[in-house]
Amino acid sequence: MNDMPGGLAPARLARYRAFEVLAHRVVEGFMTGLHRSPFKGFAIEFDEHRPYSPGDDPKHVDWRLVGKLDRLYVKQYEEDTSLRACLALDCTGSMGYASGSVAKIEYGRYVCGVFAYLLNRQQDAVGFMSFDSGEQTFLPPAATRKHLMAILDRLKQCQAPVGTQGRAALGDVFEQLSHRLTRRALIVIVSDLFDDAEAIIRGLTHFSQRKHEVILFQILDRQEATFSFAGVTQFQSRETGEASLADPVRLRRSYIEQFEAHNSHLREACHRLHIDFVQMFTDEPFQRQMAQYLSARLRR
Amino acid sequence: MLWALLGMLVPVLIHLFNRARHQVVPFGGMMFVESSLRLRARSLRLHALLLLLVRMAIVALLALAAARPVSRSGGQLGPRPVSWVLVLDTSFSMLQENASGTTPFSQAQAAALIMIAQMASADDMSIVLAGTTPRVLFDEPTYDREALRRALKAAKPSYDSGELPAAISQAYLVLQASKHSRRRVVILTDQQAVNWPQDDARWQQLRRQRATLPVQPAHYILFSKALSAAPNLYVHSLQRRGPISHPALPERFEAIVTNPSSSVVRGTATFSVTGQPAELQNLEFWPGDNTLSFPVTFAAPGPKVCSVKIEGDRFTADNTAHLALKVEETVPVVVVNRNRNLPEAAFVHEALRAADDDERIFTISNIDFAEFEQNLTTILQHAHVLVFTDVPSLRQYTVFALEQFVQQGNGLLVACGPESSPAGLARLYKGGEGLIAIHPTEEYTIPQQATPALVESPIWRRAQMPPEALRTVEVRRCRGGEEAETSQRLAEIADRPLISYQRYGHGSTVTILTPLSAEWSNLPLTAAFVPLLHTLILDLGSSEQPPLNVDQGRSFTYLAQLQTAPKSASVRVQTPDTHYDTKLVQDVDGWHLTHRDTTDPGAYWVRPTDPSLPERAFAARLATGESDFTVLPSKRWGHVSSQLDAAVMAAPQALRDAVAEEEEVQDWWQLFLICALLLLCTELILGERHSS
Repeated sequence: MNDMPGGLAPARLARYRAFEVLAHRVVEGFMTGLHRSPFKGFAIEFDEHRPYSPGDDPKHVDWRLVGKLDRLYVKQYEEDTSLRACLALDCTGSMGYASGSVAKIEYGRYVCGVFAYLLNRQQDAVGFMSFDSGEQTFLPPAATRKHLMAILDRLKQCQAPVGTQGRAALGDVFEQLSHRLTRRALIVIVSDLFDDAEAIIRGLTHFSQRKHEVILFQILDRQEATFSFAGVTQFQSRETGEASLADPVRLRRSYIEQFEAHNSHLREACHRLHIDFVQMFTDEPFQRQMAQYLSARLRR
Repeated sequence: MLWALLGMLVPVLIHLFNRARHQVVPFGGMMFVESSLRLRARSLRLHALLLLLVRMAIVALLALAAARPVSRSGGQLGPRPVSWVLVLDTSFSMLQENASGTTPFSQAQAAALIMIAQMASADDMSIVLAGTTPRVLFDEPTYDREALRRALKAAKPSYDSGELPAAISQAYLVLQASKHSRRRVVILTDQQAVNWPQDDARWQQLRRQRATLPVQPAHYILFSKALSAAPNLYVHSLQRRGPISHPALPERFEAIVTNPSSSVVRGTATFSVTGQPAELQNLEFWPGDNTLSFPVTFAAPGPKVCSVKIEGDRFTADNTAHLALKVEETVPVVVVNRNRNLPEAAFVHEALRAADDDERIFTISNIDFAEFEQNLTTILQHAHVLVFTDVPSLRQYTVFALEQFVQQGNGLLVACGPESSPAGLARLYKGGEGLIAIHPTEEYTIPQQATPALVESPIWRRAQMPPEALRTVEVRRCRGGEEAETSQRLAEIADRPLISYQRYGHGSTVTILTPLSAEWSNLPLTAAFVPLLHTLILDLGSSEQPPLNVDQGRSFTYLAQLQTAPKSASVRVQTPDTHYDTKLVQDVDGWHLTHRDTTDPGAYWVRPTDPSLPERAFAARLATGESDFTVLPSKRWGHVSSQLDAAVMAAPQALRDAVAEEEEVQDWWQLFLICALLLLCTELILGERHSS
């Protein structure tokens, strides 16, 4: 992985500054930014007039119209607002698998790092959540540089060790996240999505219902997709520690069928829920995959 | 071979070993692994079990096939075609006649013809003749019965030993080209022990070669009973006793007839010259060698073939011997001296004339050395014996020409003279490898009245020269020096050589170490000198050039040295049983012809069409190695048959019965092998499905 950034330093992440993360959906926000707000407020760009009602700030009254029409009208402005985003990184044991030199968790950290940098650079508030089977850490969205540094620090600490604590219930995690984000937001989920597909889709549905925009990054190792082991092998779960002896040559077709079915199911569901589903393999150049996705998103 | 069934355990062990030897991988996608295992666990176990059983069955079937099980239930799979190879012994002993006048060879031919007639329509056959060099008549087994019959009838014994192991080896090579699944090697032979070598290494080598064949052939040996009790007389040799044949010289021939039996056999011996019976003798042949003597006086010069034929046994093929020779019209002798007027030359000339006065065997010329060197080529072409007396130093070219002269079968007598220089004689001696056997460097004086000792030599015996002949010779001075290993002393004086003899190529040379001068010795003045010189010159002129008698199987060469081309180079070559016409070929030596096929012993005549070319007779001597017929002992028979895994039988009917019995035997190994192959295919399919 030659083009993997050597660390999560902003200087290294700066190579992605050509891309701007633009929310395709209207999100609500306080700050003035690139993103169109659904709320008509009192900002720079005029939208329409409306009759004054008690409680309106008298400073918004259009005194010219009062002079002409002798009625009170207040000006309404279309407001640009900043984006609110949250990055969610799966730190369960399966993310620690690496058949080559790069583990999936490492790849995921870079995805999150790149997004955090880009969003922060365009003055958007970015939050971060990491989760595994036991605990979750959450940093609420903020747009300061100090906050960016905090997120990057937290990313560096994310590990996916082999353990026996069990799998994380991704559906539940997503549901909890959607409840945490009270306003509409851009949610970037980075995971291998190795969990019950129905539960994952159920969790994603919560995001859609709450009008969040979701980008779902599925990080995979090539060996997980091809299952090209040889000889009798004892496979040990990185999450539960359970072991199964199998001849991978004879198991391959069945494995691949199920793997493909799982991913297809997720992909269809994402399509239905208007969620970007991005599959990344750790043996492919990170920079190229990331650049492809961001440039494609920019064109839309 | 059934112990190989233990091999069934090998797949089980491999299975267990593979299970025990596994790697541990902490894996991310365990949810898919576990669900796949849940889905396929049962079918995988069933497949694994099935595969294991199939593999064990393959090993078991291969073990059974290797054990070559047979049953006598009859040909359930139907008769299968057979490739036959007949190994027909064509050794000399196959010509031995039995009481009914037939030979083992004719019996073997008849048995082979019956086999050809009784072959199944899908069978094919080849024939190998087991002579000294095996001859394969059909490189691949053929279906053409008529061709097989023709080849069999045209086959002839080789008049020599039969190399049966080599012939069987050739049979295996032929069988490699066979397409049939059954193969048979039938050896038709007699019980002559010579044909079955005792060298076990050869039989083991044959076994190794047989093991490389894809299908093992069945071996049958059909032998004809030998006349072990009957005496077998044979002519061991026929030789001329005199050194040279000439109409003026009475000749005597000696034949050695061997009776290998332990009893006296009565018989007759007929001596003939060029087909004309000269003498018939009724004799008793005692056990061992019997020497017969035939005195002959040739009426005219020319090529002759003398033959001796005995009658007294049934094995007649070795009862005749031939000897080709040339009855000389004259022997050209050239006496060369430093000066023809010197007494040494005169002594030699006069002595030869005196010796030859009545017989006129020699044509004597007396020339100076200068004249000799001047006409060297012409003189050497016409002379048969050269006599050098007191010759000065010879040039290198002259020495070379003399070497060629003697090498080709002529004679040279060198009598040292007072003027003969040691350096010149050294060129003739050549460190012991030259023409003369003594290097006369030293000149010494011998006490007066010294008497030379006559050394026993075949030359003196042949000349019937009395030992006392040289007693009166007084040698005062003599030459001596280095003596070659090939030197053969004919006479010596005070333990030093006086007269030495040696063979050189086809010719011979004699060196007399005292000059033929009264100053050195009284040798030329004694009465012994004339018979001495006569004997030596006759012996030097006795060489044949080229050799007229060759061993059976060797080639002979007709050579005519002509100054000009003959009118016709056509010649007719008459062999013992046929003749053919051909042409002479010219090369540097002259006009020549080489005949190579002397398989048949007997007389061979080369008769040119041009009368200026001489007619010549040659003879091929029978190799009588097989005449001493020894029956292979029964113990050796058992050993040989076990080496070949062969069934030995004496009657053609027994062979037919054995073959019929073999047809009934059902071989099961092929069926087991086919089943194993089918299971192997099943295993491959199952394995592939199992993997997928």
